[in-house]
Amino acid sequence: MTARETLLGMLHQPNCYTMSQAELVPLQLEAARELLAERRQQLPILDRRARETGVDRIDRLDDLIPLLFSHTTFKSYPNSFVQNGQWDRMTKWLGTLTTRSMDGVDLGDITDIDDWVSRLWAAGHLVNTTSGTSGKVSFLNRTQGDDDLLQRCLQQLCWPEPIHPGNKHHVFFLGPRSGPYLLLIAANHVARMYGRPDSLHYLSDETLRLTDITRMAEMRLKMAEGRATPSEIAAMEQNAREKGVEMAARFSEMIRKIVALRHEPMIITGGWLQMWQIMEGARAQGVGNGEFHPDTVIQSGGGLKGADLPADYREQLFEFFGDVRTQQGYGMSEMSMGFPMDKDGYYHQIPWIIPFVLDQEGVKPAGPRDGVVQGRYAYLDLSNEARWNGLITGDRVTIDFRETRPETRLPGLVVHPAISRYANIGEDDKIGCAGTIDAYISGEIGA
Amino acid sequence: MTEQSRIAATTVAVPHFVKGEVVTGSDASYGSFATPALDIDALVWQRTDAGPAFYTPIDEIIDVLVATGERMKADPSGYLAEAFEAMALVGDLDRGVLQRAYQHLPHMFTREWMEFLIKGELGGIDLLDGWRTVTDPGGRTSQYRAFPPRLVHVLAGNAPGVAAISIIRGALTKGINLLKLPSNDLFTATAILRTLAEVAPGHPVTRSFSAVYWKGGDENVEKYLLRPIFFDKLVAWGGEGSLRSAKKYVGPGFELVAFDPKTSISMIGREAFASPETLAMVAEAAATDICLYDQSACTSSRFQFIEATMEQAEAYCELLQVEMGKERLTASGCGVRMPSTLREEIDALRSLDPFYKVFGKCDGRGVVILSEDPVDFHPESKTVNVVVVESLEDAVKHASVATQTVGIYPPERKADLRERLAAAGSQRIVTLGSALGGGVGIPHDGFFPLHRLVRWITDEC
Repeated sequence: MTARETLLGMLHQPNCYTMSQAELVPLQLEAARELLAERRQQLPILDRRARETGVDRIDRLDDLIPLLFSHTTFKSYPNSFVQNGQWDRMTKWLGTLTTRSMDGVDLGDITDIDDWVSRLWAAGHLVNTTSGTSGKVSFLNRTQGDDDLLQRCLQQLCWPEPIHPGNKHHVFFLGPRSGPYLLLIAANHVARMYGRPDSLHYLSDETLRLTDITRMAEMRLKMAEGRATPSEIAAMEQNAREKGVEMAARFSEMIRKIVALRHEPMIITGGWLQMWQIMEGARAQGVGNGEFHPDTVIQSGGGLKGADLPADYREQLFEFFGDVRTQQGYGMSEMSMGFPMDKDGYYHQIPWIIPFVLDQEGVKPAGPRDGVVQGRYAYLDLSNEARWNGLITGDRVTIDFRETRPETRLPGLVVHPAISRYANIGEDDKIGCAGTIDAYISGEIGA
Repeated sequence: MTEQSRIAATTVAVPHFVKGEVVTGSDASYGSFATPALDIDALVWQRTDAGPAFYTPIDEIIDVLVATGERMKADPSGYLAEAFEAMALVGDLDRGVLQRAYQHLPHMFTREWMEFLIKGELGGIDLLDGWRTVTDPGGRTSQYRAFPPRLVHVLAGNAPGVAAISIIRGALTKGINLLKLPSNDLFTATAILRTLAEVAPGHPVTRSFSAVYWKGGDENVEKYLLRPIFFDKLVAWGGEGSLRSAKKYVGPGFELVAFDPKTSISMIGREAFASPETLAMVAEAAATDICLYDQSACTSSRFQFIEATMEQAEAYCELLQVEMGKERLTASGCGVRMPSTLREEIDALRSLDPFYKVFGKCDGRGVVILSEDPVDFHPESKTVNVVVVESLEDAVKHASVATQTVGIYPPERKADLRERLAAAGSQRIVTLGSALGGGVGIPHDGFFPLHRLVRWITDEC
């Protein structure tokens, strides 16, 4: 068994998320060496990086840092490929980041970007995408093996007192029924494994379409080139508002159903703000604290994304939902699985994901790999078959490398609950006269 | 080293300058630097009193500025040298580029230039000291003058000349001037003002200036200072964040004068391929425009549209990349560090040959990307995108209101292109290679700066 297989085999072992660094690090080092040697053969972009940064030996985990990419890499295709419908070029681009051959992809008569993604899936490239707030989405390739791992991970929820599949839960998912986001892919697995087939509820029965996101990018280009008309801009904003109103109506209907079924086990998956709105809606219907079934699972995560909630929103929420189960994690669409949260609110390392804490620039380690270190979060995920998954993120985290600590009952490497974002460019008060058309495109489309 | 001493060792003390006096202290910490505590009451000049220099003759003000420039050149107290060292240590500009930029600063304070500035931007020096009389066709006689304003300047820090020209223009208005320092140049403005205070201690002009730091967008400061009861105008140099924040406070009686964030491009006609010598000359001129302040300025070219076949364009790109690696007046040879996100965008394009051709490594010597469509990202850190076009007229669609300077080769084609470019939104047409310089005594970003800074007052019969 290779070191990588050993690490992946730890999944669902009782101590999977509480292992000591002394046990994990030698395995991770060996697995990283194996994987790097193989991926350098498969991915010229990684090989170039290794040559240019002079990395040819991995003696310590920190030696891997120069080989971590920024999230830019997975959306580095030129937008013109999408706008001009040059799907052969898009496929070639994705191929440069993928270990598998793209030869089997049927490129005939592709109508739009969603069609392209479905052709990729048909050829066994199970790509997931990110939300692309800037109008440009990342494409992260996955193999069937990668998806199998995701499904194996989902064989248990709510660690450290897990539940297992059983088709006993009503499922409420506060998003569209399907689409290429990892969250949606995972939600569908959860619904199939845990949900009652007669009671699966989605905020929208539509498939999430990338075309809607890329249309925004096209509009931005039109505005930048001065070709957009005022009524086109108005229509775009009007469309967004109407969608918002429609979603609000569907959400109210969903809250009504949740309230009606609250004495039975259910899985509710959504953002914190949505959870808050469920609480407010339910209270308005006269629901008091602690009325939910104890096997109910509240599945949430991520930040507040600018939502204005009180500082103790989680405490308030769980006072309302009562003694229910919760599945929370720290992760991102690019990671094979989020770090699961323990009962004390700390996120525990997954054996096959090596976390790093870097300085603000994302270049050097913020400190030695012992004690408590704060800085920019980066990781190398050793599991992915389809790509080299070493990434530097925009998150500011605190990682505790110690074996144990007074704040947590469970041992192992943890990420502290307080996670924030590094300032975006321009927010650091460095002012220059250089700018782009983006500053001139205002309103919802530019937000 | 303990955490505390590590912080102490790397924190730079930034002095403030308040109404002619230097204020030191490290009460407010901003991570890598610390400033004295901000006394916001000390930063306003109440409207119950005229500003200190409102009635000072303009000749006297020019004399003071000329003497300041001379003292800056000699720098006997070492204020500029000290600022230069601090900037070189924490700043983003290459040391050589910064040094040459500092050496140029005193030359901006010469009488000739300042008189040219007033004449060009305002319409005459008489308007600053008194009233100009006009009679309209109906026989009505009016008088008008440029009255001293109350200004807050939000400075940009990508080139030290911004601080110098802001002080010059601010002094020439005779008005009061609060300079908000940017975190990427915490020193230049204060060094110039300290020199001014030595040349003319207690002089009305000296007392008309403050230069302090607060974090842009800090409501505890801006909400109270940026009000029409204290100031007339906010003069903002670029920085999308600072402009968006300024918008909150702009209203009746408090106006925004924006040197908007801009980008610049070049247009190169097929005439460049007339001979190998011509092409070499064009590549050098183009590299000069790209590498201004190591491509951190609004005038730095980022996209070049060229009338060429792919083979011709490749030959041009090779020459251009070599030229970009040469040290120039405002460019280092290889002093730029490229952000990793940009490096990855470029590395991705390297894999997309033949649709994209990339010349040069991400080593600070310059990278040229050749393509048929402009790239999506913002080329910086000495990166340029050369885009092949059928004709330069076609390329006009890539100019917009965000386009400041358009460098054109050959100059004979400017006449054809400039009206189209102006219609598309651009403000400045130059001959390729001449993007640096100018901007004083002529319009800047579409307006005459000094004219916008003053308050125009009339006395009508």
